[in-house]
Amino acid sequence: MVRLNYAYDRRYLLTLTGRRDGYSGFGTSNKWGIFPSVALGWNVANERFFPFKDVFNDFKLRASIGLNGNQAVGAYESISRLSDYNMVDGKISVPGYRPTVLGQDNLGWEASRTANLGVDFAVLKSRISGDLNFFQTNTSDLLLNRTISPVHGVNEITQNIGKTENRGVELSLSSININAAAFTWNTSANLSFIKNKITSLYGYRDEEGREVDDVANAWFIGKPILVNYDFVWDGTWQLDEFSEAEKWGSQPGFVKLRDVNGDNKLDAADRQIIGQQDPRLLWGLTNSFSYGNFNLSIFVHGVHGVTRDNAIMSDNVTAEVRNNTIKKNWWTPENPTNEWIMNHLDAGRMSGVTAGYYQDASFIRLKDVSLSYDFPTKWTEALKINRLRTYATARNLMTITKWNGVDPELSGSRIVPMQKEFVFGITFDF
Amino acid sequence: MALVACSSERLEEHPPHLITGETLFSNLAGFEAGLNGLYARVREEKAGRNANDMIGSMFIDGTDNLVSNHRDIGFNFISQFWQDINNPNHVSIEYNFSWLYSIVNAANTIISRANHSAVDWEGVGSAPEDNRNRVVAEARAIRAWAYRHLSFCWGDVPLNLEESIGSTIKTDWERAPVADVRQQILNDFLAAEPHIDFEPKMNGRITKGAVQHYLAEMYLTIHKPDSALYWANKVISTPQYRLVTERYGVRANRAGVPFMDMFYEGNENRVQGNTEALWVFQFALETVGGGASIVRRHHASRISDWVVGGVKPIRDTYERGGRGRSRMSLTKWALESYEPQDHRNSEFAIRRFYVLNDEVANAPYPADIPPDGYHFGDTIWLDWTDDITSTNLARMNWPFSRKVEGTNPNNVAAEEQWNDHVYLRLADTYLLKAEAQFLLGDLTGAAETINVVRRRANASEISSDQVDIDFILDERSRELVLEEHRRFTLLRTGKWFERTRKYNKNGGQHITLRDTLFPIPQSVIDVNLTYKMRQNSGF
Repeated sequence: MVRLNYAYDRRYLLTLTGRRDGYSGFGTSNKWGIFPSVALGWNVANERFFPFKDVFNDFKLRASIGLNGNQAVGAYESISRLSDYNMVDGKISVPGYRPTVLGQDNLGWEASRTANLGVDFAVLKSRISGDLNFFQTNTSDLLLNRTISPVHGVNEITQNIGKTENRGVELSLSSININAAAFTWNTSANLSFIKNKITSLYGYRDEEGREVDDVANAWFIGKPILVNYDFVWDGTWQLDEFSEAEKWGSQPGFVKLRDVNGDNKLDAADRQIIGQQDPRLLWGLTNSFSYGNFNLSIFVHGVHGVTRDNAIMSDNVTAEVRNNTIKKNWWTPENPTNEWIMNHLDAGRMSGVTAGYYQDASFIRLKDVSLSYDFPTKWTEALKINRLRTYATARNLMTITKWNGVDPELSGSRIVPMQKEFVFGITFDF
Repeated sequence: MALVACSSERLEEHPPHLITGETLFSNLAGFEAGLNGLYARVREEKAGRNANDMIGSMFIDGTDNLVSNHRDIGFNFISQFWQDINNPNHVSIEYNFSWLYSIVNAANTIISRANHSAVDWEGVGSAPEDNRNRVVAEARAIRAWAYRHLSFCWGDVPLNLEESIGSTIKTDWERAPVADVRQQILNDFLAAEPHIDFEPKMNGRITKGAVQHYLAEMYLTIHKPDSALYWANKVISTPQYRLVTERYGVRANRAGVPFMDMFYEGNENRVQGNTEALWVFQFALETVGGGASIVRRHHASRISDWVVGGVKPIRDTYERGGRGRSRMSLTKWALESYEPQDHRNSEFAIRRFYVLNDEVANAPYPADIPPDGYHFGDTIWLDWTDDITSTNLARMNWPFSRKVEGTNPNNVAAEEQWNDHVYLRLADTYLLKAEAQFLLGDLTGAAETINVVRRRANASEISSDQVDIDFILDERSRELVLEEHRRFTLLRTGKWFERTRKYNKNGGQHITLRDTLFPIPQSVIDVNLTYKMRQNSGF
């Protein structure tokens, strides 16, 4: 690795980096990658001509571009191998193996080219400071586990696949709102907006020259990297839709799935992209107050634009009763809701097809509230200790969300949710 | 600032703990381990995707002699409802398709690697060239076995005959015509046959007789009964292969019939006296590589949950074969297709009643619980008066075949079982021969061949004018129910639709001719990015 830092007159900054990395897990011909980057900075506030010196005490423009390598695979992934599949001869063990991993001799580095344009600023003697960044990352040869045809005898392979584009804005701000002798109030906030999409996969083209999607892996050109792809849940067949339901061999109270192309049958062509699994918008907000020896800090964060399969809504009473867990707003003739279906073994299936139940998993959560009190010095001196503080902290006090699964912050539906926690404590040091 | 670390050679991976194609397939022992892995995958036909979905139910259930008796999400969900439940997204169809191709690839890997010149084929007791030929022959026989399943289930299927390697992933698989697939099956079996011995290389391995048997079956399938007769005769005339006509083995001194001896734990293998066995699947309790099967759980009835007069009278014991869950039961027709004196209809072959046991008779398991009006020693009968139907199922007291009994004596409520399974046997070959003779117009010969099997079971002898294809299928059911791939047999003889409609009252009413093939799994079509894989018609 080589890095060169150069600064001129506290106005112009230059960093050049070059690194060559090797990873044993890659194929024999692709173990090494070279990753250069260049970053430029311009302290505009230090220029003589800068006209707003009385307001801005810092104003710096930044630009960088660089290539990063990602080795997100375990060791030995490039080697074809067999797994234990032991057998017996009579009642005597004999060793057995069968092929389970297809190697990839040309497995190599995933590379991301990131361009960043940013500004750092501070105004009113740093009462308000922050930074704003625009970035675009183009990643190529992503290391992905790809579902392949079962005809190969192995259903998955790790490969370098395709190209993606990630664009976003990040803003962070902090301000000292009140700074009086007895009372202070500080706020810090950050916000990021990210949009990603797949720009290329394998380069296979259809007759019209368009690059083909990979339906099996739910990878679609021009769409986000992680999407849900399934039949569309359109509510519940209602009593006045009896004859329409009957055409599908269904009945009021049963799930209504959408015949997207209107060909009067539900088949693979009716599957749709139903939202993305990565959030589009993330934000956090911290307010800190102090009054005398009291300190109060409140942290709220939000995650928006996530759609996930709410797996815990699906019953599995025939096989795993213990997983049939949550209270539902069952459809009944007296409760003709579209929110859920009736309590019937076949109600979740239409034309032999079932679909996941996708919900917006966006949320705003009061993540952390802390209140503390520092005992006065005369007390601590009397007790012959340096510091004595008592505090109370509450975590996950409140969540605002439309998600009715276990916890919108967790990606799995059958994971133990985050607890509401209350911590009371005393800190002292001698 | 500059930092430098590591030399290039350090990055070469030579992991001694990983088994790669290069390290394993370098000598005979490695190839034997490859074959062991292959057979361990094959025996999963008797195991399941999960405890409620046995892989092999797809090949036997939803026919004239086996019917869904319990609503479930696995294959017996399809065989109860067909229609839109039999669809390309069904998980069992997808699972079984992948399972079969994983066997094809494991076999292909052995076959391809055996061509490498650097392999050390040296082994004890046989010449290196013979070792190589036998290894390749076993792999080709198993590959043919897998394509046999694939072609009967899906018709035209992609022919993959090379070891899959990561650098040549295909997205344009094409379905080969079923005639080509069957020709490949014949080529593999014919190439394998000369190099496989009459006796299995070790317990659980395929025999020459099994390969010849499958040749006979495949020639019947492609309407060449003369070739079928030739290969069936090869098996039957082999002196080592003989029907079991006398009592033998672990229960020889107890009441019973010769027909059932080969199904008892400790009697299944050829080395244990089962002269009739052509191929026996191996399992072992609490042993590395022992696997497990769930056939008894799938077939035997749920007797321990059967309530009579407010009590559950019958306890699970080892003698009674373990805990059933009645996923697929005998049809009423199958139960009633026997003559009374037929050994295959005896209390040793089909469980139709229990004698209520006290704690001495059930020891070491607890005593039964006689309902009101019953006493220890009384007989309590199961009930098969009314057919299993969609509104009358989950029948806990339905009679069942005792061929699949077996459990862990220390845990008789276990889901699984670990006794070996007779997978293919000579009686089946006799009945293939009879079918070939019938198709060639030799009714007298066919009757005599059938009588060989009937005589052993104490059934009455038949005359040539009784022989027709339905009689042969009836006889196959009486003899081979739960053993033969009934669906394949009925498809081969063009009788699946007619007979399933006629005898299967919980599902048979829903089938159409479309259902003679299963749909290609949607996942297989989706992933074929550059060539549109054709779906079977009607799906």
